[in-house]
Amino acid sequence: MTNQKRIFLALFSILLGMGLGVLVFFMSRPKMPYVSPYVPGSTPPPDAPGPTPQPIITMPTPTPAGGTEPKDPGVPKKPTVTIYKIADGPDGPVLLPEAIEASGDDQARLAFAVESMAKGTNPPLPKDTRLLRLKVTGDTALLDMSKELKDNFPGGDRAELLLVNALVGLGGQLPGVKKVQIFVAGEAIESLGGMQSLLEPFSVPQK
Amino acid sequence: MMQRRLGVVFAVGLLSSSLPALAQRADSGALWASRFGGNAQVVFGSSPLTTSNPNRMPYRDSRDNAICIAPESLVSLGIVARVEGGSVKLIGADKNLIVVAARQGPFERAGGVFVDAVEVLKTMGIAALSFEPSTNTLILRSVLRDVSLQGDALKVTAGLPVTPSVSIESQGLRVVVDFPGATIGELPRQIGVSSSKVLAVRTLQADENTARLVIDLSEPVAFSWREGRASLVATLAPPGAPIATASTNGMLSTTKPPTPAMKTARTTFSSSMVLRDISTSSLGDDRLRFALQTTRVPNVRPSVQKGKLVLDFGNIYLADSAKSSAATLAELKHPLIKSAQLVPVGGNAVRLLVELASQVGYTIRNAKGGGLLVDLLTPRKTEGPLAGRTIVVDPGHGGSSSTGNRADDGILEKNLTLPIGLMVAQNLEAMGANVILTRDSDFDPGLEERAIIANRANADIFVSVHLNDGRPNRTVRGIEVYYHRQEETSRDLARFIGAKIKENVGDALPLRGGRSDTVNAPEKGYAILRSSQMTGVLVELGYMSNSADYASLKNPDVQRQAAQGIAEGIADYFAANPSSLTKYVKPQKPRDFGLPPLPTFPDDETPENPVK
Repeated sequence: MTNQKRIFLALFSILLGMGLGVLVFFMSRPKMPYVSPYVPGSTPPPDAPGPTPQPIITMPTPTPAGGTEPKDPGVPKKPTVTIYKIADGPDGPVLLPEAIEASGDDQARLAFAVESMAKGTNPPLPKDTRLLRLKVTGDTALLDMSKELKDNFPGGDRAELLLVNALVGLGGQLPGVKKVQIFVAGEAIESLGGMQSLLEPFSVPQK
Repeated sequence: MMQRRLGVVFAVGLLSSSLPALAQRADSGALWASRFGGNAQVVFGSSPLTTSNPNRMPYRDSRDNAICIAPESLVSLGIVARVEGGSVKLIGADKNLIVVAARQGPFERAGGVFVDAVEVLKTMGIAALSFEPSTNTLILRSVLRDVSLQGDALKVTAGLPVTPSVSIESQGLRVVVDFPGATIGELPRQIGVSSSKVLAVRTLQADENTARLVIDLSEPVAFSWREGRASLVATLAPPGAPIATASTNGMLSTTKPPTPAMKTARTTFSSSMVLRDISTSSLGDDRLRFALQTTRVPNVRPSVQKGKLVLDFGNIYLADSAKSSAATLAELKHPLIKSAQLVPVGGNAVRLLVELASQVGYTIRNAKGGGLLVDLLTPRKTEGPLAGRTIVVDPGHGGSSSTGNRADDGILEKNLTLPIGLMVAQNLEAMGANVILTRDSDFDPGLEERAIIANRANADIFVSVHLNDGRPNRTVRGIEVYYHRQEETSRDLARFIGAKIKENVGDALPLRGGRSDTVNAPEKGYAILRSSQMTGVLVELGYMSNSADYASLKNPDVQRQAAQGIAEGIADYFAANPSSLTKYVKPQKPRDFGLPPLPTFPDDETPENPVK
């Protein structure tokens, strides 16, 4: 090795060491403590501009007491049930009501509604979910859903909110019902996705 | 004696193991796999434990064959219950408290929680249990726990209320006391005798359903019983009481009927507890732990005054083991403390007094199996904008049960909220805050438990970190900060945090702003914000369904900036609201399951406690 190379290596080592030293110095320097620009009594910054958030569920317009008389008195009014479908909203998907024809008692009509809401593309309920039992105690409707509600739940915060709200809206259409509690295969479970607690009944949104 | 004990252990084991085998499975042809395994009965004496509400009747849980009973049904056994979140506190007639998990009633028993009857009664150790499979009936028998002769007083303590019947034999020289619906449990056959009037006291199981005491006397005496319920005292020839005399027909008669007169049952129970033990363990020079074993979950409010950490425990009694352990505290040496002592305060309270060597942080949490763990940690910062504040950081979701949103590339929300949450905690600690994480690894603490952690810590702020998903709409993006309903302090916090995150992340994530959780969860709001009792927000940092947002959320630099923004937003909130009075405590409506209120024990009345 020539002397030139030796000198070069020595200088390079010194420079490298100095560079590392400077780097360590800056990295180990204590971070400046955060000083808030606000003083006691300051008002919070204004909210971000933008559209008013749309509620995740739109309840159907209540029918006048006694129901709507059919235009032709001779034609009997067809029994319907309100289902909820996912539509695009400014904050993501929202639920919009839709009345479909359904016959039978409350359980049969709601079971049909659940079946309708658990099939097709982008349904609010997990696929193949069924309503096993319906019971109304006082002002609370108890919906016992099949295990597919949990097993086929794809996950996701929004999906869970849509699911719960769809079922609350579904049960809330029964006369006199103000609360809805959701069971899965007879069980009261803590949560489907970690956002909503299913251990207690949900209040039906104002119609 | 040993054989008897083995017999009891065997019987309990047999009962435990036979319950599942004896189970009547739910109809396999049913469309649903309900947790409801059919109606059940719990019988004590000749009467079943019931309530008037058919939804609150006992039932079998088809999953584990537990016999579930409404807590209020246990009142007739002298057990008072209170539902607190996911647990039920039960106080027995012996004033000991146990905490068991609340079972949410199934569809057929909606409207309130239940408890596992076998678990409760076995944990309390107050009843012998047998199961009748043909009628799905759990039969309870009171266990005689103690029979002792103290002077001329014969004291009988039973696990459940008993009603003795007394008969006099052998011309007044033998008294036979039968306890229907009771077993002698592990009592010895012979009871030690200290009275000159009593020759012997024997115990025996007269039949399956009746425990019997046979008292042989040296002379006829009068019997007077006082106090009812689970503890009975028979005084033999008390002062002034007439001595039993032979009647004309040769049988013993007394001026008072020999049948014990049951006083009105006491309905007051103490909320007193027993400190069984206190121990310390040094986890290095920067961590010291005090472990306090108590019979119930104590409610303490710590305070630091003039360099001393003070924890007051009210209505507590020290077991002998705790007294000896407390004495060793004086010898405790640790860099964090100058001294530690357990000081009695008044007649029924103690104070843990720790003189600190320097400013020390501490955490207090419930220990598994009862009691408290008090950890002294490395000196808490006394500087920084958040010094003295306690903030709970909740990285959303976790574990396999709550994975959260799933991105297109398979990454789960829980795996992104954790590192961001940890960074938030790191930033807050750097600002001097006392930070508690609901999770620091991949597990799900449970929805209610997350709020309970914050409530138990009496935190100033609760902040939950989540990521959003707007599918099928993939254009929606941005930061949203949710507050509960229309809470003003939480709304202010949401605005401070939202603005500061945006300031830190720049164009990486747009700000959509603060919004009420009732937008997405009408009426009730988000469970975690509803259950936590302090100012709190749930931060949705961005939409995993939007490609631009998702790219930013995966970027460690943006994660760091967002975490810093959350911490600085909290600091801004406190800078604008320095008074502790800005703390907002949500009124929590207690769950009402028709339970009677927990009675309190009068201060001037000393609770019965053998270890006091």
